[in-house]
Amino acid sequence: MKWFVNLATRIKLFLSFGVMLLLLLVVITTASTGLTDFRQSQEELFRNDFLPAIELLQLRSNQNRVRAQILQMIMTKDRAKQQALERDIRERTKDIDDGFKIVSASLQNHPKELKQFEEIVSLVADYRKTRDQQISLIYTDKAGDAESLDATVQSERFNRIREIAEKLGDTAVAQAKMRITHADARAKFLFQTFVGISFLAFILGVGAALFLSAVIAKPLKKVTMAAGRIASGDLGVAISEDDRKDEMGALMKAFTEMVRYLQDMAAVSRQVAGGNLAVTIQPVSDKDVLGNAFVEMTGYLNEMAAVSKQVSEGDLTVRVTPASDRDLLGNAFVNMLASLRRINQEVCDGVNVLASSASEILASTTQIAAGMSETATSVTETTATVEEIKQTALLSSKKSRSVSENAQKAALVAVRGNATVSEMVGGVGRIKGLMETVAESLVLLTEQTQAIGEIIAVVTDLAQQSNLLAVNAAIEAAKAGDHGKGFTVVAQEIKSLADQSRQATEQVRTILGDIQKATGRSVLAAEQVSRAVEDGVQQTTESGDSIRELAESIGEAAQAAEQIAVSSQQQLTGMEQVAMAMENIKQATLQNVLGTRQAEQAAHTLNELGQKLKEIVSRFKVA
Amino acid sequence: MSDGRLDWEEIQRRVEAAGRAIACGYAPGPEEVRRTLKKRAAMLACEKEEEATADSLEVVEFLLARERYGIESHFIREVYPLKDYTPLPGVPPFVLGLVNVRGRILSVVDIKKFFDMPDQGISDLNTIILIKDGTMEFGILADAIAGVRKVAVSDMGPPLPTLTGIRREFLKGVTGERMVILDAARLLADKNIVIHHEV
Repeated sequence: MKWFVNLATRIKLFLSFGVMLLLLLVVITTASTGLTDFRQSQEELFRNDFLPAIELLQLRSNQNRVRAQILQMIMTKDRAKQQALERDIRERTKDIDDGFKIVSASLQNHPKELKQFEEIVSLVADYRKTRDQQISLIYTDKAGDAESLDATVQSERFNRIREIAEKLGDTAVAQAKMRITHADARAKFLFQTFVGISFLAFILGVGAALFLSAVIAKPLKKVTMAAGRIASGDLGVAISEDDRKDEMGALMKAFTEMVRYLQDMAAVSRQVAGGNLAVTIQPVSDKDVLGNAFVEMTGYLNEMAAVSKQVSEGDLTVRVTPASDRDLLGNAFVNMLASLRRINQEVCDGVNVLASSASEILASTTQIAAGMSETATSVTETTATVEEIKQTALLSSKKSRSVSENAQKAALVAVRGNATVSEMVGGVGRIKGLMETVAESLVLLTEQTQAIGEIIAVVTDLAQQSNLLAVNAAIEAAKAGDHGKGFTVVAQEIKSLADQSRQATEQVRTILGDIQKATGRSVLAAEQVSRAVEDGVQQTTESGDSIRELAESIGEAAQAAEQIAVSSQQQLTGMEQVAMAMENIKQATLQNVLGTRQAEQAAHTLNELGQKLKEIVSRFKVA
Repeated sequence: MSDGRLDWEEIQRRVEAAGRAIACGYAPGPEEVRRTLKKRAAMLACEKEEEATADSLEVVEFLLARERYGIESHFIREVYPLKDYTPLPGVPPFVLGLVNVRGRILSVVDIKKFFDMPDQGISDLNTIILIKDGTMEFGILADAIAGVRKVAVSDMGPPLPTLTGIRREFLKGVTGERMVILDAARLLADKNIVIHHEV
């Protein structure tokens, strides 16, 4: 693309638009060819397909009519009417002949269809001959013969004609359809071609536009922006210099040179601004206005610098001649020298006064500083003492608080103890009641044991008697001999029962004795418990009273401890405030000491300054 | 009580158990019933064996001053509890008195005194054994009746040689179990026991 970039801008534009025009030409040519094709195709469609088809239809219709009228002639007897019908038949025949001409002309290019059509023509000719025969038969009143002719020969021919005509018509319609399909395909192809070429043209157009923009507009924009930045004083502009041979290349080269010159000048100005007056400037030519002006400016400034140097060395006797009335710097220098001489005189007087005052201030400040140091020491000691007192107060506050809390706890414990004692009194009372119940139950048990003893005595007696009975029974059984044997067994059983009863009663008696003893012991124990419980009730009541009194004392103690705690807290707060105040005083004192020292230092400095000033002022040469 | 505290639950359980037992009454467990029945069966079987032995006496065994005596049962009319007796004045000391047994007035003999046995051991003397034969009928005192049992004749030894005097006359023999069998027939027939005094 390098060659294209190097072309002149005029030629670039011409080439781009030329390609677009060429594409347009191709489109137009293709479109006109396509349209001509279409027109031709339409014409052929009409001439070769539709016309024969219509004519064939017409032919069939006319043939139908001829046949119908022949039949009518056969039917009617009216001579006039028959003649009218015959005239009409003749007219139809002429129409049919015209149609034949058109169809045969259009079928010239289709030999197969033409052959079929010629068959129709010959059939029609045959039909006509027979028809004329029929007409003559009708006129000679032989309608029956005419009718028979129609039914046989004519009908067959008629049908044959209709068949062939239908076939031809179908063929024509089919051909027409084929042609339309062809035309559609052609139209589609043309449309696709147009779309393709348009797309190509669009792509090329967009490409050309982008490319031209990149080659011409972009560098122009770059240069414009650079010019804008230079106009706003920014000389740090760098334009990339591609090796272009066209107008844009020339423009950029010139621009770069301009920027370089301006940068050189700016560098010189910067050095001058930085105080370097030894800079040398070479004007490019006599026409270099900027360069010449710079040379003159540095000369003037060098002169002024020499004057300033003399003044700075203390020589106020130097003379300056301004270049003109508008020479601000020159005039200012003259005025400055005059002012400097006057001020030097005044300063000399003032410095003398200042030096003497500074000496006095120094003496006073030294005294104050000594006093402040002593104060600070005292304040520090006092602060330490206050801090100790505060710690003591804190300790006593804590102690009194803990005493108060303990007293409150003790009061709570005392209240609980009181409640417990009350419950205990109730509990012991219940124990007493229960013990009485136990004692009663035991007495009852003893009595019942006695009752059991009586019962046991009865049972013993019964057992003895049973024993005797058993023996008697045995004796009787023995007397009865063999018959009494069974009875002997019964007697033995009864005896054994009696023995068992006796043994059981003896056991019961023993157990009853034990029970009796145990209950006796229990009654004794219950009595002892009852007495102990009574003692317990009394003691519990007494201890309840003691605890109640104790609780009251503790409550009072708790209140007192609470008051002490509150007082201690207040005392502690007061001590804290005092400590804080002392701390503040200490800080202030320290600051005072520091301030005094600084003041002393300042007085020293001031004194030295006064001496130094005296020296400095004496160095200036006024006359 | 080992840890100084009453186990009330244990006590309550025990009391409840006792109460339940009382409420139910005494009913032997199936095991006990079985054991008792077995024992009886064994006992019955044994007696049958004894019966099989040829000569035996059926005696009523009774206790008197801790000694065991027996009297053949066919001499005994019945045994009777001594409830009330009427002392009879003017009779030897071995006659205790008279008793009324279902309308019959019978004399009661204390055979301890009749046999001149030393008065050793405490006696209850609360039963009478009424003995009889065709002609004579009286009661003798006994502490307690032990029961009726069979004694094989072969098992019976001769009277102890130490026994002398009046006692020897009325002894029939002594069994291996140291039971003294009295000869009731002789007692009934003895003239000394019949008192015929006129005052």
